[in-house]
Amino acid sequence: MPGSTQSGREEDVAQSLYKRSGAATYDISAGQFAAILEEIQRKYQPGASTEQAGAFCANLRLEELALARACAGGHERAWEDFISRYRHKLHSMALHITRDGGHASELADSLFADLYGLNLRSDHCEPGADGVHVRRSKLIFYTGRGSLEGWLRTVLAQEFINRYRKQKRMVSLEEQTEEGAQFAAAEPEPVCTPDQRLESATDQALAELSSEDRYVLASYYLDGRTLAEIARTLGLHESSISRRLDRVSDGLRKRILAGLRERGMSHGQATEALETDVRDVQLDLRRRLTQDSKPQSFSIRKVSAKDAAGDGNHA
Amino acid sequence: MPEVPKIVHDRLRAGLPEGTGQETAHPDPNQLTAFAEQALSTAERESVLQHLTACGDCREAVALSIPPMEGDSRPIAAPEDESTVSAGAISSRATRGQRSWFAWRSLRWAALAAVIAVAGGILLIHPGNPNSVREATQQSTNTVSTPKEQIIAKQQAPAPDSALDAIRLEKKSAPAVRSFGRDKESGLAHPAPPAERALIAQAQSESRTAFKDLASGKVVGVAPSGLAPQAPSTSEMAVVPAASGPVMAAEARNDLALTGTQVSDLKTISKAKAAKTESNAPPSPQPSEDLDKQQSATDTPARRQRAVANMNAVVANSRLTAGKSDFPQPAQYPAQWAIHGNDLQRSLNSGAAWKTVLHSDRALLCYGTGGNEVWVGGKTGDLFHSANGGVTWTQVHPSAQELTLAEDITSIDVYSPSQVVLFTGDSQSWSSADGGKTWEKK
Repeated sequence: MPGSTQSGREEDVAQSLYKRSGAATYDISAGQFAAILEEIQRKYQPGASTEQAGAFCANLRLEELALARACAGGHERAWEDFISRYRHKLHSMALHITRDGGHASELADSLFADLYGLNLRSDHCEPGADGVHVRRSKLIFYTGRGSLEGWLRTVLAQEFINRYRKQKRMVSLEEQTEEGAQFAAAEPEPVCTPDQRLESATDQALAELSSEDRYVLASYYLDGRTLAEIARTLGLHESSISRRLDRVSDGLRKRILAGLRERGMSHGQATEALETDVRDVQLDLRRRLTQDSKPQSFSIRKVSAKDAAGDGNHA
Repeated sequence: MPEVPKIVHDRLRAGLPEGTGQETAHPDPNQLTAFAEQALSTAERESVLQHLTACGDCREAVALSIPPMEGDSRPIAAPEDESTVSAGAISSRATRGQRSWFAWRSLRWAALAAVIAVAGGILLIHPGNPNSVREATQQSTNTVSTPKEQIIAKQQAPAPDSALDAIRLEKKSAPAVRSFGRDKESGLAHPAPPAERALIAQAQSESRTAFKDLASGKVVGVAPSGLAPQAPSTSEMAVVPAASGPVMAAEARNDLALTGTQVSDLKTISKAKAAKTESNAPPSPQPSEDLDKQQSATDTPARRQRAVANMNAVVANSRLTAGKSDFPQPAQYPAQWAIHGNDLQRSLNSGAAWKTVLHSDRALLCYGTGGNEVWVGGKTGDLFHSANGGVTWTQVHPSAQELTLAEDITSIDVYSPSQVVLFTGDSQSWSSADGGKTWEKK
């Protein structure tokens, strides 16, 4: 009896989610939609209880999920809705990411093809019963965790990054020649190993920070993001990020200094090691050694006389 | 921002050493989207954050997937030399390079600093009698007559310090940007030494002349206390609102009188006077009440629609020109906002004239804008929203899971027309992803 009550409650929840999603308008049955939800829930919360699973599914973007799955299934009205809602947005998103009209169109069109399932790749197609490849839309991967618009933007961003990396790998020889870089040897990296104690103290200090603090540090100092951009990513106010950066930077310096002292450095040594990085000292030893080994071709007296004559001429 | 030692950059770039549990698989786009939209559970968010700390590509994807701000009207520039810089650096640098110092956000603080500097300068040059200051403060809080009337009344009284009192009265009635700098002058004022009497007398006579012109409607934007008109500068921009305070306050009162019944309701406030665009032009000698009567008599729905369209065009135009590096023309300034007690005021001409666009029963505390979206928060959870640059307003009552927002709203971030985040005095965070229809409390 309790089992039947529980299953009845589950059915009620599934029905209410189905109604909320509006999946019926795209000819998705309640059973199909329940199977979709179950698949998503298992992917992200494998061992969740019934209540947890219900709460998880209730927080999904059900309406957008139904639209995406209907599009992936080739539903005509769903595609009309999708195109009317997202076509222009997709182009403006691509423009925002690439900042170039041509690249934006290319990127957006490519994603559209992926979404429609035109790009038949080995991982995007399935052999049908009669051996014909069946197209598979990329929208099948949307799970409703965030908004569909946000998902499209993220997919575009990832595609842009992948393309950029591909382009970087495939620079033609002509382009290299134009840039004067053909066959140019890579700049020799100065091989200077910082003090191991400094490295380990820094690693320890960084590991003690929270993930969010490390993310803020990496975004600001490595990626060059603005405070506003970081704040929007984390859903915080810009001033909070500014204060956090101040606090984390100060704390980090103190922790590294303390770590260095623990590793046997005096306060002065620790401060010096932190402030003066050996890699900042630009020494061209080869040139210096070459200059030092040159034979003296004339005497200092001659140089002085020549300099004096030169000065006289200039005057 | 403080600099961190170079070794920190290197170790961050290298990632944390193995064995610290940071080597996780790349989150899928769904998780990254949910992370950017603050829709992940705490544990999942922590896991994604750990990965992002070590993975530059995913950080890049998250940063690129954040939607642009509504007011972000940067022109699209061709990418730089992509062979030497990373994709993220291109995007970030383009963002930074095209951010103008003359954007309204920067000007807001510049104007505030200039107002404080000018007010301090005036008090240093003309220190007054503390008793008269106290009287003036008391009078300004007790009296409800228009500032114009106050000035005229002060002019009729030939007391030697009346002009200085009027200056202080006028400064009291000028809008304080985000309620900063209230009543500071009363605390700073001190009796003038005898040696400065001659200087004060000269300043008083100049001030009287200026206020006569002001009261007759001939002069708008003359710096008080004998400050000579100078070439346009940022400091002058700050002086102008202070001097035009009474005119602005009078306009605000007229606005309230016109829409009094609607203000009392505060559910939806329609601004029938939207057609009346603020400008730098001096006001006509005709009393503003008469103008309002004429205007309200000839108001038609079509005219209102045209007015709203004009207003939107002005706001959009000013937003488009705000990002340019050259100094914008006065007619193209973006809308500026200031909270003055229970009122929200707006200026469309860089602070030369202010107009009350929203009145609340309780004090307003903060506002957030993005394009035409304006959100205003106040005491005990008062929240108002305008989707058309302050022309019409709707009161919003955020509630989530049978909880209603009843705390003071202290900060508002507007990310897009649909996404807004509120922060309360007790560190609550309320966010809406559908323009305020539904809310989530964190």
